[in-house]
Amino acid sequence: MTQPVSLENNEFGAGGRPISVKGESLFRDSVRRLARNKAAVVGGTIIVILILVALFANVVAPYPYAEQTLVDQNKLPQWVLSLFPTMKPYAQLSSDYFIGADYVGRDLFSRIIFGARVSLTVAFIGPLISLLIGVTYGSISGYFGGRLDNLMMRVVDVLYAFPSLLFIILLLAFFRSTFAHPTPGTFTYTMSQLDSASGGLLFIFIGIGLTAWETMARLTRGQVLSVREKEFIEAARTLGAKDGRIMFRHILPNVVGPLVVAETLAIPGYISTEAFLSFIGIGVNPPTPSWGSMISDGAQVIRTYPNQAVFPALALAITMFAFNFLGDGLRDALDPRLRGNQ
Amino acid sequence: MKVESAEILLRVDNLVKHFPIKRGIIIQKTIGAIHAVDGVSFNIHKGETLGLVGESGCGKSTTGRTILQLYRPTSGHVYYNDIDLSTIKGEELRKMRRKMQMIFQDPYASLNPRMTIGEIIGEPLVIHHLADKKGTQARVEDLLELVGLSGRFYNRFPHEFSGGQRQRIGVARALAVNPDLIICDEPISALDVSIQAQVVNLLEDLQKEFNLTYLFIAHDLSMVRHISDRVAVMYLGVIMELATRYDLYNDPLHPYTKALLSAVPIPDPVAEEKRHRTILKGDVPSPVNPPSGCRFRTRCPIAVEICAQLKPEFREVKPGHWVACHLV
Repeated sequence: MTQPVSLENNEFGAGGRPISVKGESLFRDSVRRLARNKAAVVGGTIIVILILVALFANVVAPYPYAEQTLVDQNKLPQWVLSLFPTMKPYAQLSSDYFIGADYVGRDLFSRIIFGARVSLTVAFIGPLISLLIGVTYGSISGYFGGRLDNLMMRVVDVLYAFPSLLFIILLLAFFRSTFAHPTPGTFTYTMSQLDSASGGLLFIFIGIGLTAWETMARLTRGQVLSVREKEFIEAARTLGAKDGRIMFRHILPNVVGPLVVAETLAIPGYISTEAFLSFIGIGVNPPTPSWGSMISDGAQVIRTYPNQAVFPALALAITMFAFNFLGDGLRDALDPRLRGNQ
Repeated sequence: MKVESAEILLRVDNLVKHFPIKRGIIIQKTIGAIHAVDGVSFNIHKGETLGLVGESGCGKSTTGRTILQLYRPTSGHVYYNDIDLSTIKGEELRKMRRKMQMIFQDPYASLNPRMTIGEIIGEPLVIHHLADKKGTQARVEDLLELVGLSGRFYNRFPHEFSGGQRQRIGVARALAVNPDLIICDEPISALDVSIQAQVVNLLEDLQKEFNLTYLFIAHDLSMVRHISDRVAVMYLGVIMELATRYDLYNDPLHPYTKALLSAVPIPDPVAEEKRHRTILKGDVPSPVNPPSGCRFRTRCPIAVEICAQLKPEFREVKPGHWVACHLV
């Protein structure tokens, strides 16, 4: 009997390239390809800068976000005036504020910087909640399948059909109602207190969390279903692996890519939900600055002082673009069909 | 050739596996079943290779997976050294898995792309607590050398290997727990012909070295002839003929086996010219609604009336030569 031929064993691979002993994991390969995607790198850089700015807002911002200087209301610097020359007849100039002051004389630039805190908190809490609930729910549904899967997915279908924005508005109306005066010790009271303590963010998180996990649950279930049928899962079972091991060692690492991409691309949605809620006046509590509430304030005077609405909107747009670019880049980098290219 | 009276390692007794077909969104009704395996019985002796051949979709793979209890049988029994695998479950079954392993068909799908080779081959050792971290690495490197790869591949990932190399990794993983029985589920059909020979030779060498028992599932008749001691021919969930390699290839009794063998080309132009082919008419019937009586009767060139009425008994017509046909 011939010995097994081991041509594959020599030191050099095809084309005489030396075979590295240390393998390149799919993860490192993805990182490498992400780093070559210019748009993604730009997006990622912007996000990192935003995070740093939000973290060190106290240091970066020239003024505290709530400091009012009433005599300076609606003042703006020269370069903003040249950008919007229609303001010439009535504009009061002041070089103290980088992009101007708002209707009570607060520095717009500082408020945008502090507003990044709200947007970024939402950008990280939103995915956290939806991943936590959605992935758990979806992977249980997809892994165990059968009747349980059927039941769990019908529940999601029902919730999916629910008008989520309306639900959030109802929630806020109920808990923040000034007529209710909840008695201390009740659930309503505790929730209201928590909400004020978080500057009005609590219900935004709850609102996003209640609705965002459904998409993740569906996506996770689909991914788990497809990986579950792969032969390496059967192989693991033949080896005697238990459900937990199959789930965490074999299935989840193989579905995490699409989930990360979907979640990154969903972040702009969360940010704009928060902005929308703040815009219609049921988001963060004043004077906490949020880009949405700033746009809302600016919109009142958009004909006379367009700078007060345009700059917060610009900040919002840039942030959403940055997350979108990063998400697109991640999708390309994690796509196994493109592996090894570029 | 192995001695017939050798110790029986695995006994499959009237194994049946039906997959229910369900319909309905919330309340599901079973409206039928795919009769993937329908009453299969055979023995595998210690140290032998039993080849299992048949067309695509005839239930070969399902048989293999049901033996390993990856699918629980609808009825029937699988005895491994007189332990009935079809009745045990949980921890007991998990312990038994050490004794039986499987080599899979698709070397691209059977290795987890997110794990290193070391983790893949070492996983059975970790699962069954057979070695500590250091011991696992040493054992994995030994196994890699054993299947003709380098121990230096320990930290590399499956996507860096060719199909043949991956199949060797799959073999190494199956060997990690020192099993007695390995079910080879078409281990070579996804490989290049040149690589096929390497892998088959590797399997044969390993069998000699560790006294392994194989159930070799394939549809390549010449490869099965090369590796098997005995061969079983399956059609639509039923074994049609089971005989030693020599008897089956030189003296096939069942009309289906005859037709199958007549389809094998002969690598000799003169002999090939004279080769008489039995062309079967039609397609394999649906396993949802298999034909009455003999499963093969709808395509059998010699079918008579009784074939539609009575299911032929699987009987021993010559010592060690079993056939399920009324007309033999």
